[in-house]
Amino acid sequence: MPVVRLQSVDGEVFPVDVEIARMSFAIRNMLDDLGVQDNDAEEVIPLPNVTGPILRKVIEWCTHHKDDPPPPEEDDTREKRTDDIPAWDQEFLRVDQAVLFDIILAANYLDIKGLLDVTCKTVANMIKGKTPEEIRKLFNIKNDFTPAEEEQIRKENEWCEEK
Amino acid sequence: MEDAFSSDFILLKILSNLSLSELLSSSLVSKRWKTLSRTVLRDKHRCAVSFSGKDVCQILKEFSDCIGSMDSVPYNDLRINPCHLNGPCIEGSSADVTQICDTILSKMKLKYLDVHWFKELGMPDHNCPVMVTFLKEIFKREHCFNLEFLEFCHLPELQLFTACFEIDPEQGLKSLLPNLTTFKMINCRRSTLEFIKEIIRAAPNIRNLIVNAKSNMLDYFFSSGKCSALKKLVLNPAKNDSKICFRFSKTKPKLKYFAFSSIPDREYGPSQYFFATVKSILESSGNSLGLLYADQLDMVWLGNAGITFPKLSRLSTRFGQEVNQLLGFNSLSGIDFGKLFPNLKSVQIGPEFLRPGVILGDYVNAETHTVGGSFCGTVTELKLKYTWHILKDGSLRMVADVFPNVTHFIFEEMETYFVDCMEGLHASWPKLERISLSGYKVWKHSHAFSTAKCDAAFIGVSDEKIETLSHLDEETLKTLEVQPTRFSFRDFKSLKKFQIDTNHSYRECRINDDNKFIFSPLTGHLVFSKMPDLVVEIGRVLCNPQAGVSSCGYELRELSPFVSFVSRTVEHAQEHLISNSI
Repeated sequence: MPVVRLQSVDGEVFPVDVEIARMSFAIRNMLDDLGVQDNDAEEVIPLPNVTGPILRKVIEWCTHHKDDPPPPEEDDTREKRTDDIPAWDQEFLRVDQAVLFDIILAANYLDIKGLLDVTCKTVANMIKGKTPEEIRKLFNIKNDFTPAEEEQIRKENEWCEEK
Repeated sequence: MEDAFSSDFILLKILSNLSLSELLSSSLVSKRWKTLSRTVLRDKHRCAVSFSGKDVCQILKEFSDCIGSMDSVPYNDLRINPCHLNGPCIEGSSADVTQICDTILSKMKLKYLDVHWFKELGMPDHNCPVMVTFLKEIFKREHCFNLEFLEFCHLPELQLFTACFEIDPEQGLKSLLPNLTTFKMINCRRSTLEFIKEIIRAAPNIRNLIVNAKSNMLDYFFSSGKCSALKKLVLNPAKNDSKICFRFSKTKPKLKYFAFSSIPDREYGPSQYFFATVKSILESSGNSLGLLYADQLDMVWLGNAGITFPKLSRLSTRFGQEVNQLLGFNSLSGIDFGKLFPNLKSVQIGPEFLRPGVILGDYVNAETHTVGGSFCGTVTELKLKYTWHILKDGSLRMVADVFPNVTHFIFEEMETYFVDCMEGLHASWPKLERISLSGYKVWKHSHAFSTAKCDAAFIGVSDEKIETLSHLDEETLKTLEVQPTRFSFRDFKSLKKFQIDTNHSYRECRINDDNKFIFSPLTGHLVFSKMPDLVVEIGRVLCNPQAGVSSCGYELRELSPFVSFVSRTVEHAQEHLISNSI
């Protein structure tokens, strides 16, 4: 199996099967742009935005999902579900919030749609059922509303009806 | 370290997984979260504002004040349903009114519009000029440019519509709605086809026509090339329409709503095309159908045809002659209904279901029953029309064997026979959460009954005991605890709602001015007051004094401490009758 070498920002190099590396559209484009052939095993691709431990996690996820069918096109008309995260992914993402956010950033930078979807769903599940105050506390977000502004938003929200 | 939340793209993607109510909540987290939550609401949800009821003008004014000061607007959907008993219109000059409308429409990117039309609207002597001005503003080219979804409930004549909205009669609605993909019409009986033609002219990108398309309109859909946009069909073919219906079925339509009745064919015998048409449509629409109203459904064929209905949530059906002639009803036992209708929630079954030895009798006795199979375990709402078989011992038990998980039972036209089957109902579904009585005869007493007899049944005591209780004063009744000597309504321990819709027939409600009802305050004091988790709701038609009808609709004031009254419009009543007549 042809291999490509991915180098994290902290200098760690990971040999990865090309087919797995190509699950990242960013890497796929780099390989295509560089004209890297499948047998160019010595080619090193630097990934300046991803640390070694996070890159290891990303490669682990891609390896597990390498035989998945391509994710379906976005369909805005379909109701979004967040209760359909596979058990393996749930276990894989049982990590510190900081690690989870770094995986999201890496998935976004490397353009790995499946990983970005599942990590965003995981964060959405953390938000569901929480009050604004609980959300702020969970993610350490500063409340920049005055009490009057907050009251105004509540009034504006009251106009919304669900179909 | 960079935080995933610092990227708008990522935060938007996270928020896109939230529901409308969760997004409203997340808009209160911080200013940035508010902006992004509202972006998701506006772009990916239907965030509706409703102008309904008799104070609609005042609501419009208040909304204009609110939206005028907003920096990010989540709303993209307007629902306009002015009550025909409008309160006083807001004061001000026509320029003020135009300003209000303009403020709202310039701030909103209107994608969804739902107009519940009243005949008063658009008439020269209508009593709500503000709403008409508002609608006129909406139908100006720049405001409806983004419209993707348009729904009308009732409609005036097309000429009146175009005149009212100052739409150029030569031009019509042409190219007015370039982004419209879905058009829905409810309860529009007049000039339906003329409107559909106009909408197709106005909306070249239309993909979903959810209109009561009848067999005799299919010619037009063929000639306009819009067969594939048709999502709702009422197939009721006269002899002359049979071939075009069959031709339509061969276009492999993907309907969401399908209603068919073969009754007109009975005079001549089933048309050679009819069943082939129905089968062909069911085959192509199996994956898309949400609602199916069928006067007869060949379950045996369905069970063997390899079609499934994964999105079907409502089914109204009878079993027709075909089943009987081919294999007999025992053949139903071999069908895997759970596989056929995996998400069915609500079922309305024909009265013949209950005729012993005809359908359920055979079905229940057949092998499926003995291995514990059921029609569909997902069904939680069941609607049944009155038939005298319902009163026979074991009838409801038989239905419960087939639909074991029903939590909401709806009786149609039960009159006061309801009290006779309460015990059977409880024995069949002891955990019932909701009972509804509906139909235009629901409040009427049949000959053998009186309010006193019904009270006795609700309270669970003898008729003689009711006679004694009726002499007690209100204060005594408030604290009285009566021990039931037979089945009592209070035995429905899980019941949360008892809903009675009265006066569904406008004509009849005008001539019935007595205040007799299925129960009296005796039941209120001794039953409903003792069930703290129960809501008893009576739906009444409020009549329009302007139409010269002031005495219609029950007052039932003496029941008001025990029940909540809900206003039903005459239109609601008509909708009800129409839905039952399909």
